[in-house]
Amino acid sequence: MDDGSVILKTRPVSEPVALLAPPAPERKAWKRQRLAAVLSPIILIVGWTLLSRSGWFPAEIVVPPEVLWKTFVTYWSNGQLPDHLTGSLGRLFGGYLIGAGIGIALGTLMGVSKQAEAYVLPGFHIMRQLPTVALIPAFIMIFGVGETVKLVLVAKATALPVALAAFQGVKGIPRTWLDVARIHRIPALTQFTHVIVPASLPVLVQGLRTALARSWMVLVAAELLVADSGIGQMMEWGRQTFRLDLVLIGVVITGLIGFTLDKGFRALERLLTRGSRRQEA
Amino acid sequence: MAFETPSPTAKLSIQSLSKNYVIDQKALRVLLNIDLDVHEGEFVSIVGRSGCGKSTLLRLVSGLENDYSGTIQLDGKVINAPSLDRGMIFQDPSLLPWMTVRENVAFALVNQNIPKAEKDKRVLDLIDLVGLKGFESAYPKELSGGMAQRAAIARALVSQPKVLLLDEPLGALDALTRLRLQNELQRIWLQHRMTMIMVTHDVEEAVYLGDRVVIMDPEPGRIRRIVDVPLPHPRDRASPVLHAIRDEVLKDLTNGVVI
Amino acid sequence: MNTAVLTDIRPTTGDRITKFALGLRGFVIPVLALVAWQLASQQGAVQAYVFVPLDGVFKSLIEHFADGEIPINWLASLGRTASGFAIGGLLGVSLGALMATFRPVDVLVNPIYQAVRQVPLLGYIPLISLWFGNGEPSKLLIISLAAFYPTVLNTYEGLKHIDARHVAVGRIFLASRWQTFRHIVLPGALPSVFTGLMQAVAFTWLSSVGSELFFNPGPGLGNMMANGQAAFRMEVVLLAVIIIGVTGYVTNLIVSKIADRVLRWRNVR
Repeated sequence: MDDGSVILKTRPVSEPVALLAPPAPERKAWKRQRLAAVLSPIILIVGWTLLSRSGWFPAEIVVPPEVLWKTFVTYWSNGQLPDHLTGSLGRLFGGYLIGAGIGIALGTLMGVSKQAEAYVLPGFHIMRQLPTVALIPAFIMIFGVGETVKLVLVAKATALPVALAAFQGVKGIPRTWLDVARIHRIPALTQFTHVIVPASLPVLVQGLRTALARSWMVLVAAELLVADSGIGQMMEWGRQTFRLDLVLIGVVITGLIGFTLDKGFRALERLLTRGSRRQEA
Repeated sequence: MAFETPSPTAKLSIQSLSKNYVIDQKALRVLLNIDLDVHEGEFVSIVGRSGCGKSTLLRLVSGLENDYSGTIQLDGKVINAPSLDRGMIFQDPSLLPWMTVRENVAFALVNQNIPKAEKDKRVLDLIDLVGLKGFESAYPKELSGGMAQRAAIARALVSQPKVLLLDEPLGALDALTRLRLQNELQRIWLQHRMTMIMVTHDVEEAVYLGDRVVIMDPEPGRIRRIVDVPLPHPRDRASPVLHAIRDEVLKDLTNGVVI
Repeated sequence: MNTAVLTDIRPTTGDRITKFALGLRGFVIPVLALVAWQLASQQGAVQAYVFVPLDGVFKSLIEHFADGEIPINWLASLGRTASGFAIGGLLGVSLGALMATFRPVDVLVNPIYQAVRQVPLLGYIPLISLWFGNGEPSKLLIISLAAFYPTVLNTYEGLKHIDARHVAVGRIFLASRWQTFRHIVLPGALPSVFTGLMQAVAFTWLSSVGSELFFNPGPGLGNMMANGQAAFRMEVVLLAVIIIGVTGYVTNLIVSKIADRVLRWRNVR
């Protein structure tokens, strides 16, 4: 979403304070908040239903919820929706794995070797200035309209933030930790597996998560422009044939996938960075 | 024996003060039955192990916290909210990073009806007093730890408080800066003769600056003993009396526990 | 230690030249890539379609600057970005502040904001296209949303995480509510608000180009790329990419300079 760099956000020791309102009793407020968290979506759905019943808009523009549900069930049971889903997710994970692999390798290399950093980093900064979405037309011309171009776009969208995160992760390791390893004459390989990898992991994982969200956006955009399957293509087809129900289902599914990927990754992040967080506490 | 006979009227009077915190629905006793009278112009040091509630005591006197039982009175008036007649200095200088030294010091008068010219004069005088002349337009990030604490002292004094509360004011400074600022504090105190109450971990500092040293016990926080330091100010660090008192306080504080 | 050792530490002219020469290492890979591109263009007519010769790109730059194609599209994209930034940024900061200040607003709006934000921005394009058409309003909506998301979030976070010590300072000196807001809350939240605005700048520029790619009518760099792709004129597409990159870089630079100036009190390590 931003310019591709992963900046470790640290806040000064602070606590949220109720500023302009007197502090309410915590527990009660929390309960109310839980209630409201489900309240506003309910209001939204009820409002949508009423709007679709009001007759102010044609049903093609404000699709009634029951029509949406019917379309969803039809497209799910006839296998079209699952096909689009597997198509999109397959591309996403394929491109993501390639990109993350390249990113981790290059980023770590730049982190441990001053030479590699000097040769590669400036080129990286140039590439960072080119938003992936803006590269779609050029990549289509180079790689054609098949599967390759989507894999390349996703890989590109992944590799840059991951490489920078890996780089910053390694660079951010306190000098003293490496000095300790050297004083104790730890072999280079052990240093790498026991100091560098675990110490840079939290930053790297954060970068991997940002990259996943960004490549999902790039893939949806690419599928809108050039694809014969996938959620993006389904939405684009819905647009061309004026099937707003399909478009809306696509939007909801896109959001759900983004949400699930992010939540899943956060769970993974907690699991992987247990050690470093315990130390902070 | 004291350098100056303290005024007979108690300036700050604390009587059977107790304070509980509620954590996970369990009451935690932080302070229990504190009785303490601080006289006008007196310098009182408070020492004690971590968790003895000495900082909480200071926050209660400042009025930042007002949920307690017992009484805290300043000149006979009950304390239950912050007021400009009690200045406060924390271990962290707590300067506002977006204000220059001058603006930070002036912020203490933000809600005061004082003519601008007089405000400016008071601010500059205090910056001068704490030895920060020339750094009026510096931002806190450009100051060293000692300089930042000087600015915080100026800010606490500019509203001309009757009592100055110091919560480990020099705790975060290096040893040399610390010694220098102890002398500065003493100089300012002698010049202004205001009442000062200082919480510290450093027994030497407590004895060197205080007319009396209050020793507190933890869990629940209560006063164990009050030691008089009957030496005139400014004091000589090498004074054998001072060292004897320091050793006594230290012994009492550690109470045979090996540290 | 003697003074001779101390003076030796200062960089000499020779050191500076060495440093400069070492800095050149960063250009090795980009230059190699350009050479490879140029070589590829000379392999034959088919390759030259995709890997247009670099001198062709340069010639086309001069040409399209002169015939106004580049300035027109460039200014159109910039103008669109600026309007979207202004609209979305203003609304975003306002909503973020409202959410941070008034609990009912927070409680009602936050879940919807979080839900809406889960959908990748460009994923809304088909929906917006059907509801609002393919014209200027649709583009502006996308770009405004791009500014809106990060500013809401960062304004909210900034206002919610004011340092408790700074608030205590305000209480000690009996600052009124307005004074607390003016002197403590507002400057305290400013760095975070600026973070949001800086993300918004980068993100609006990207979605400006993106929306132009999808909503074709009207001038814009995205549109220029789409047309170049349709006509299979790689040099036009490449030019647009380069201009997009340079513009993004320069605007980022300007905004961070402004941030450094406004937040000059900030301790950046």
